[in-house]
Amino acid sequence: MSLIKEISTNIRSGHYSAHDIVTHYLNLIQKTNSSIKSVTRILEERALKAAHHIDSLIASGKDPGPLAGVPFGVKDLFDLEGEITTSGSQVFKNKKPASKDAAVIQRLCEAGAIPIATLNMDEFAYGFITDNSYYGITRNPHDTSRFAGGSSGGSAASVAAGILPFSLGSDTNGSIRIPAALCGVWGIRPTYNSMPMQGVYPLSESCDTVGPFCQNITDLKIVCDVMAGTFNSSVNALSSNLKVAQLGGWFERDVNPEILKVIQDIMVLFQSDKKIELQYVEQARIASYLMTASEGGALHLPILRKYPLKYDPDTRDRLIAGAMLPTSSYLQAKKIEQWFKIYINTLFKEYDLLIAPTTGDIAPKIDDPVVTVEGKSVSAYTNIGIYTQSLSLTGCPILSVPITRDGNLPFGLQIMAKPFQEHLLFEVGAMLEQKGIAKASILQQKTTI
Amino acid sequence: MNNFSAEFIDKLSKMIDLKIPQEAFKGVQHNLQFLEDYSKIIQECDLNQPKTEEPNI
Repeated sequence: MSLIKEISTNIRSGHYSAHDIVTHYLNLIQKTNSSIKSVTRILEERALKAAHHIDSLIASGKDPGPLAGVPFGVKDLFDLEGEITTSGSQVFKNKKPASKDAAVIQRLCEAGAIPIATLNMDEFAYGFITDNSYYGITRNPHDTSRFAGGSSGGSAASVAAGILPFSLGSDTNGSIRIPAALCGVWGIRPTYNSMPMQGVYPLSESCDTVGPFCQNITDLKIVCDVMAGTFNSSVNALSSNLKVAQLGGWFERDVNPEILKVIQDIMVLFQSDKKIELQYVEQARIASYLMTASEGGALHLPILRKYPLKYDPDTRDRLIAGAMLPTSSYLQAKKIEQWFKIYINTLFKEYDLLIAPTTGDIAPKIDDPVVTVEGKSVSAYTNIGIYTQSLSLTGCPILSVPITRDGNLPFGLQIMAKPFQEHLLFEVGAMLEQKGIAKASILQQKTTI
Repeated sequence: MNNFSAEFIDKLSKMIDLKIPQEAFKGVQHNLQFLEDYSKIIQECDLNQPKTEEPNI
């Protein structure tokens, strides 16, 4: 069921006012945020003003848009008019406020949605965990002793906690997919360059994308379409005879057998037993890592020259090292990117969809931040992205499918299609949701409007 | 073993006109070693020759 349609229908019909809805979610944030630290700023004045405007439009018989009065939150790297875009860093705390909303936010507001909060992230989006040295660690709403993932952890956790109907994040090497998986919500890394990036503070322009987190697949499509400027609220029935393959090899190593079992169940649904071991996955992952290091380092170099001590030390040292990476290494990484894109494109002549896990297991514990790689416990901070980084190079759209299990923490799967085939991902997501295989884990909030 | 001496990092930092704070030195040294190890892996990667003759489909 679409929460966005439910909210906007109730507001349009006058059952609730936009003011009621916004106040409800502002109260939820106030009650819940101290336990999960997903929200960094509450935009109360702007939100209530926008709600008043929506209510006035409705009262005068005008159409407020398909997202009428629906509140949302944004990762702290999207420009919001009149607000400082911190990118999760104290380096920017005295920056000039943004003169206008980021392009995707403009589109959502024109459709009637109301931004009510900015959301926690790893500093400058350079992480997979959301451990922010100023705002704190964003905790997983399903188990607050565990991480929410990152770098869009605040965005995923807020939707999973039921304190926002949807949120926006960004994905360079996994920063939508990983928190979506660990928090058990729907997310999508759209086709590279399919979303306008004006007003989004970058990390690595070769890989940066922006996308939403939602409680269900219908809402994900609605928000994605509005952001892309292609709004069409219907999800078509799934085409028959889809050719689907599971990514094996690298993408099976150290993965919890329960996750692999769900992938197997989905493969049975598609009547497919095809498994592909991608070539040069390790090299693709490294290429993605080096491109991010070099592009991020170059971007930050002018600021590092002036304010090196204002950065979180870990972020700073990685950016400085990246700025020193030789051009020959960067160019070799770009060559691998080009090769990998062509290679994946060849596979998509044979297949419609490729399926892989998002992470190897459930969310790591905050006091034991490790994942398993080649049978050894290694840092989750640098290694939890081993199944997402290489796929970022492809430029393809990747859906993060939430799998909920009673009494256990959720996990997520990646389903990838060829560029600009997001509609296929939404169709597959809808089918998996309808069959009960995919389902978001959303905490039920006790308060009601 | 870390291949990046203080002197070498100092020369690199001059090339990019960046004065590295003293407290950043160890972290930068650690990350540079990481980047070097990764760079070696991809420099050795011969993309003209696929690992297998046929795509592994």
